[in-house]
Amino acid sequence: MPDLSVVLTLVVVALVIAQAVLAGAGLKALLAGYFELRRSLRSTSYDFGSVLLKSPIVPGVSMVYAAPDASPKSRARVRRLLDLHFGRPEIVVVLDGETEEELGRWVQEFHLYRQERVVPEDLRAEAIRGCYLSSDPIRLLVVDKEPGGAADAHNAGVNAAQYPVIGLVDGEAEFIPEFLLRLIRPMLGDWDRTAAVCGVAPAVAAPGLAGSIGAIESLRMWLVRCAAFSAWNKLLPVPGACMLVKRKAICSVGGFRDGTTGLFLDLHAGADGKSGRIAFVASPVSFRPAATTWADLHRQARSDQRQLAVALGKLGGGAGREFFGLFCFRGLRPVLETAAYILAVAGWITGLVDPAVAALVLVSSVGAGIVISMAAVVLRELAEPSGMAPGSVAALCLMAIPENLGYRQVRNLWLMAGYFGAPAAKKRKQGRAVGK
Amino acid sequence: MTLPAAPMVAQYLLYAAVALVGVHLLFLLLLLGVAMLRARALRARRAVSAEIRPALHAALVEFLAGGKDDSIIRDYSRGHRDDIAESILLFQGTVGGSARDRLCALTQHLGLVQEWCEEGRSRDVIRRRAALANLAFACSYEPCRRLAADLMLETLQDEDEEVRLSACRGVLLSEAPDQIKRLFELALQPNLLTRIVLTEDLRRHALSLAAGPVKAALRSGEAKRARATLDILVAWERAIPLEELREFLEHRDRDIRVLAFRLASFVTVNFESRLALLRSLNDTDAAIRGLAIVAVGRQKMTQAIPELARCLRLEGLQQARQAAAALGDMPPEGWRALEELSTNPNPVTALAAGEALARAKREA
Repeated sequence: MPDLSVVLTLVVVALVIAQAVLAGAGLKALLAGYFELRRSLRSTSYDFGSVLLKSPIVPGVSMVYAAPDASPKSRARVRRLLDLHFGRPEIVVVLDGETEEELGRWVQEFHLYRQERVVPEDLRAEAIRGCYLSSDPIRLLVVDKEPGGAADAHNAGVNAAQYPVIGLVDGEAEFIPEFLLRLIRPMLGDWDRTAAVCGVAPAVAAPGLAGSIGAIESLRMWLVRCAAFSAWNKLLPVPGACMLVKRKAICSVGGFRDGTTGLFLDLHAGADGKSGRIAFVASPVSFRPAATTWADLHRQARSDQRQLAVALGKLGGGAGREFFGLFCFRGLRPVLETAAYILAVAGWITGLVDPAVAALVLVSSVGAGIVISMAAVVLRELAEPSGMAPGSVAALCLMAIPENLGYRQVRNLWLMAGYFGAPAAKKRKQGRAVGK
Repeated sequence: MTLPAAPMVAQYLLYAAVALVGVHLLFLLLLLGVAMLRARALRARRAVSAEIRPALHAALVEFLAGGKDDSIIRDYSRGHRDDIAESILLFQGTVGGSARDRLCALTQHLGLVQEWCEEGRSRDVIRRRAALANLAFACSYEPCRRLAADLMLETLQDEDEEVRLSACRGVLLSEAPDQIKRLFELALQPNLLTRIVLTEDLRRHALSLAAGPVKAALRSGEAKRARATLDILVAWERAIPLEELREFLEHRDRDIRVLAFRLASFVTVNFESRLALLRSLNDTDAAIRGLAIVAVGRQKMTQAIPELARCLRLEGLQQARQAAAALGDMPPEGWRALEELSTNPNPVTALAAGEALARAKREA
């Protein structure tokens, strides 16, 4: 029994140390994000927008949208993309193995007619069945192709795109019509060295506890995974982001293998300083709508984890050492923390672990979590005042306490299920073909 | 360390961890207080601005319409200088001529120009940026230009891109030929944003630039400079005399060729360049063929009618339409060709020719 007690104590202590290291790294990332946000927001201005809108020197942008289906929601999305304010935009909608009936809905909605055209095969993608243009005065190209999954559809869209810059919008993003004008600016400032630009802002907090917790999560993500990662030149798209990527850069890494996160990982891996930097636009060009219910929080956590799991690999080996930290935070931390809780509680009940050691688990997880969440709210306000009333800022800050006492532990389970329960890449690639 | 000492060590560690978390929380609460104070001040400032802006706006509209009473503006200018400046700048895109001069004179009388000149030397980039942007607007009025001239020239070397661009715009308003030439050279640099902004402001100097600096840049033999110059010329869309395009129409750099063909649509070109255009109707690159068809049509080169008719018969729908449109621009020979081709057995040819002929007759 004493041996078991020693072993258990040592394991719990090791887990506490691991948690403390991760909490320290998290706080450091928040601070890095704060300084980057201050720098980024100071260098951002919206002047020259009208000049950029009119100038023919501004490169055209092809917005590639792989439509998941022909539902009214998907068609409304295309309508929103057609409303973008930009000098030379083109909307490329890729229909991935849609049925005749679904294609008919697109044809009817946008008054499409078939056009014979030779689409370059710069990237590997399933065969194209037909290209359609609209007889309305809109710059829309619809590419109907054999089923091959989302990544394959994106590759087909890039092949069909006529402009040197490809625009992408996250499936959950709400965006402003001027986002292309805002995102193109960092590219224009340093055309040769900028491979991509990513823009996103945190959502405004929704009312209620779930809304506040969603807002805190969104702030943490903005400060760390956007701003801090941008400062370290490791920027990856987050849910709700809009992106511009040079067509050449996409082709240089062989196109999409799985989602935009995977593409950006490949851009970083293949960059070696050659493909160029990925710039971050912190202004409110797009955002993921705030979670309003617990179900929203669950769905958002799960979908983000799945994307990361597919891009990083289940064991974090998919992205090399550069993103090992991200894997530790999103893949390992929930497992370590949950294991620490279980062992500490079991050890404390059986008397095998000293109560002080068990309490250390709480301090290193809950205590550190409260500090990090409060820091996210405060640092954001200091970097750029959100315009919230002082009382609302304080209330949001104090929501860090209930967030870490209960929700955090449940979220760990969601994160584990999302990360380790993500479908394998092969299955995802079958996409709609499987469904049919 | 022996195992019996472990509980005590654990307890000390726990105290240390709690203390560490507590210190962090206290510090964060302090920062939260600062953030709340800032948030309150910001909201109060916004509320005041929202209150006075409509009255200011109305007073400015009346002033610009010829009103003599600027007392409201002067009253507010004592306590709300930022609001006054922002309200005035709202009109920069909408007023011109004497109204713009009156507005600039008002900024000078209110002492805003002097303030902007001081802020233009600030170490804070945000203040510097705002000041230079305001001055770039005010410099359209000669007395303001005199006040800000030195600062504008100094800030052409500023470390911040936007400050430099605003300074360039202000300097361009001075109409000094050497400065215009200098800024044209700056526009040829690799920074696309600088090129885009300056191209717009250099447009009104297109003719004088085309006579000297443009030709020099095109003859420099550097592909990057030539491409940048063509970029600017295409953006100007001015029928400037630039006859020697042949070298660029047949350049090995595809981007330069594309730009040269786009330019060939609206500049006067010499015999050699016309021949190059004709040859390009048979180019292996479909995009170049398309651009050549458009350029030949715009230049109304009737000697290209047989080649255009061939394109109409052999190309796909998009380029057949372009060839048909080019023929439609060349009556009566081009129309005759279209009439013949509108009965062609090839449905694409017949469709494109028929459409173009109908459109040409409708617009004639």
